[in-house]
Amino acid sequence: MLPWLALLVLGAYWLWQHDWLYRGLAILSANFALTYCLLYWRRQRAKPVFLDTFVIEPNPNWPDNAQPIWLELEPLAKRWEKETKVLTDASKFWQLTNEVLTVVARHFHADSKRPLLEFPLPYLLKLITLVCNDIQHEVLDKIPGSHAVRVGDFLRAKQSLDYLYNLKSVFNVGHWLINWPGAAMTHARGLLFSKGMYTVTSEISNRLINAYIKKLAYYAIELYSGQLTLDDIVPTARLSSASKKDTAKSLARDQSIEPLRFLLLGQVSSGKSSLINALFGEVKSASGILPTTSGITPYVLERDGLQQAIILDSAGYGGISQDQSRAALKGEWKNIDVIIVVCNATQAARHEDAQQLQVVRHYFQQECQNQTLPVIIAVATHIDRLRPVREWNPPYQILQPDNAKARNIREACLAISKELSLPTECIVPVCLAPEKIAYNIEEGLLPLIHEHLNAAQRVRYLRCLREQQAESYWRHWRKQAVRAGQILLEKV
Amino acid sequence: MHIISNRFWESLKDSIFTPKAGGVDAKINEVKQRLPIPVFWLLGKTQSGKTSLIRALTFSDAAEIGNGFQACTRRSRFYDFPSASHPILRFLDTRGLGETEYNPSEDLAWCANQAHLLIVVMRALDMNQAEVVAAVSTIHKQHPEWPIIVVQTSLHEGYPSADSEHIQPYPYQQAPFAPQVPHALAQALLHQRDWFKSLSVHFVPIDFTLPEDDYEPNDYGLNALWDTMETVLPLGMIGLLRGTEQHKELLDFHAQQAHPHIIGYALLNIGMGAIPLAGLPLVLAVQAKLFHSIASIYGLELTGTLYAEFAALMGTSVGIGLLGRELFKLVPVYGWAVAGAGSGAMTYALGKVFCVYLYGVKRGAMPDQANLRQAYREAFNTARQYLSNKG
Repeated sequence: MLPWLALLVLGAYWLWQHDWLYRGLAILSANFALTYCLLYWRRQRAKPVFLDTFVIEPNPNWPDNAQPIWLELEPLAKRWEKETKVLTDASKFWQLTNEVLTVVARHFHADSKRPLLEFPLPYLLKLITLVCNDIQHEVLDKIPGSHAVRVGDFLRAKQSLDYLYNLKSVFNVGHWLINWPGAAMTHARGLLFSKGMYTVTSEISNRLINAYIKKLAYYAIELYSGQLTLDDIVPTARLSSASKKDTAKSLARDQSIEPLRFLLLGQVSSGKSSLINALFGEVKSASGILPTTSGITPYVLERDGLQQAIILDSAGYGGISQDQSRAALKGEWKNIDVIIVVCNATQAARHEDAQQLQVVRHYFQQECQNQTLPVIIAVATHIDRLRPVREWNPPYQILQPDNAKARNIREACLAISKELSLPTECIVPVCLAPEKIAYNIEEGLLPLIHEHLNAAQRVRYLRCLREQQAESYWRHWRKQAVRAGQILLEKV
Repeated sequence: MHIISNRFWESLKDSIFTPKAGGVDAKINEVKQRLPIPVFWLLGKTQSGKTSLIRALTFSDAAEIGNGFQACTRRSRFYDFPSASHPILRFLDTRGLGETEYNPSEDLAWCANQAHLLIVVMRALDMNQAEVVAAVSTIHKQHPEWPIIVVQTSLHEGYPSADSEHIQPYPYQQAPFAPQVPHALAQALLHQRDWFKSLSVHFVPIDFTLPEDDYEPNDYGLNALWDTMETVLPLGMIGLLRGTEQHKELLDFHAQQAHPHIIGYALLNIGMGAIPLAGLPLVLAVQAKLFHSIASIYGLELTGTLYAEFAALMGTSVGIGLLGRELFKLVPVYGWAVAGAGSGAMTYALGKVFCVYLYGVKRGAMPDQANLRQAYREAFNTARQYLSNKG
């Protein structure tokens, strides 16, 4: 230090000797000022480490009971973001992981003593793989750094997967089972080092922790709600067995995409078959005053704008000698995406309909929790018979009634909405009388179905997923059994 | 005979103008309680038309009718006909089955203890009747003796077009139906009838509409319904109630109003007359009430002069009935019944003739004595025919 200070003093002395001291000081000050300004300017212009913000959204295909968990995680994430030692302290890390998983697991297995353990082993590996992979892709890759790392993106992703798949082989050793999240984060840290980031800034740390919590929760929800499949396949790309049977039955040509499945439900002679005929524009199903339909009859409908759909016409309930119809209907619930309740507008006794819907709601709440409630639409038929009975001059202004008929139609729809506990906008008044032109099918019912298409597709997604899981479950069992058999044979 | 007759008019006069305090009213009430008033239980789904039926049968304004798509009747209630004070028939209107959030079992059990006869109401085109049919079969098991009438309503819903009119003459009483009956409607009616094939049931298709519905008549099938009620419940008063009027030209609006009241009082006097040794005063007290109420229907005050004129015009013809009554009463049981019927018929005839008389008074053209007596005799005979064996 001293020689440097001496140099400074000697320099100053030399400047003074040559009478350049004041000029020199001025130039030096100007230099300092300039440097400071430049530094200040640079600091202002400096970009954050992350170029893009990342958002992890809940999956819209999750069952209804999974959505609230996401909100529950917010306070947890806020709390952990402030912890700085998470990335370096393995025990802290395990604590965080444990907390997130417990929140999710408790939701799905409220009655289990140790909810964390309520999933099959291979799924856990899948979870780790997915979290690591995503954190790498969505977080680490967004840190601007060395070009070399960027070039290696694809390679590295594969490596990380291979790396984790290799874990399978050492899984039983035990160490990884206990500290697998630590392993995942060590891997992440290694990647950061390779980018030349030797110190982990608080910004990166926060981002990493937040992303980790969200990603972990995301996949944990997928895992516990049964959305993860071992085989990476899109569920709706395959045909469910019920549809297979029905399409074969209706002699439709082979299909590659699972259609939406509609179920027509209603009291005897409420007009279900007439509705089928109106939808197809031709007589497909026998309709009349007396009960005509028995059992459940599938029809394949193809219309512009609506992808292929299977419409199931069911026997009405409430009639004499129609006792079996309820049991038959119950078997169909889990194969349905949209329920269309057909109500006679002039039928004030709606107890049966309300009861039937109650059974459906109860079924999806209690017995079939991992699927979601089908979209429910009500169709009010026979509106031509409402008072004034002799009048029928469609179209009617149902939303802003300007005459007695329209008012009564609206009142009837409101009554249906109230008694069946359905939103008013889900009730479509129609006229299907054979001697009249079908009213409000093209302009009322079909647009309403289109409005609910997204929800229906979500129901379909879950429905197909369940069926596939059930299938894959047994397939895996079979595979394992066969293998066990082989081993036994070899040993013998 | 003159003496008896004069004594009758005197006594009636006393009863009318100097009513005795206490005692009589209590006794009348006591008898009233014991009178067998048949209760018709109306059973059916909500908005099937139970209350409309009551409205058409009783003209009761209290019977509130729904809009066709929302339940209206909230609780069971009785409708007395013709009036609450002197009921002849009683209708028990019940809350409709199939309403959301309504469990009818308790109501059904209660009604089963109130009624004597079942009227099942169902819309002809409503095939969702499992609950109703089950209820009917349960009721039938409990009360196998009850007559059952199944009323099939809202026929117009089965007409081929909105412009179709009711079929005249009423074609549903023949089997098979006349060819004018639309095929679909006939099918629906027969399909519903098939559900009751194990019971002995009477079917009546009707269509009671509102005036603004523009169907003529508004009470299509009402006569068929009355006919059936008469068949299943062989009580004379129903026939009497519908009136087989020979003196239509002498009857006006007021007389029609008075008609059911007269029957009510006549019935009451059947009860009075049938009580052994009940004596004249009770019978007379009831007749006095009848005279007052008829006069008030005509908007006239019952004065001494008015009464004296009427008594003078009627003269001795009334005495015969009275004499018969007194004599028969000496014969135990059978005689009491005949005497009771006699009192009833007499009250009825007196009421009718008093109407004819007041009609004349109002118009200022007094009917002559012969006409009046003729009217009395005819009314008396008609009433005795209906009441003597069936009362």
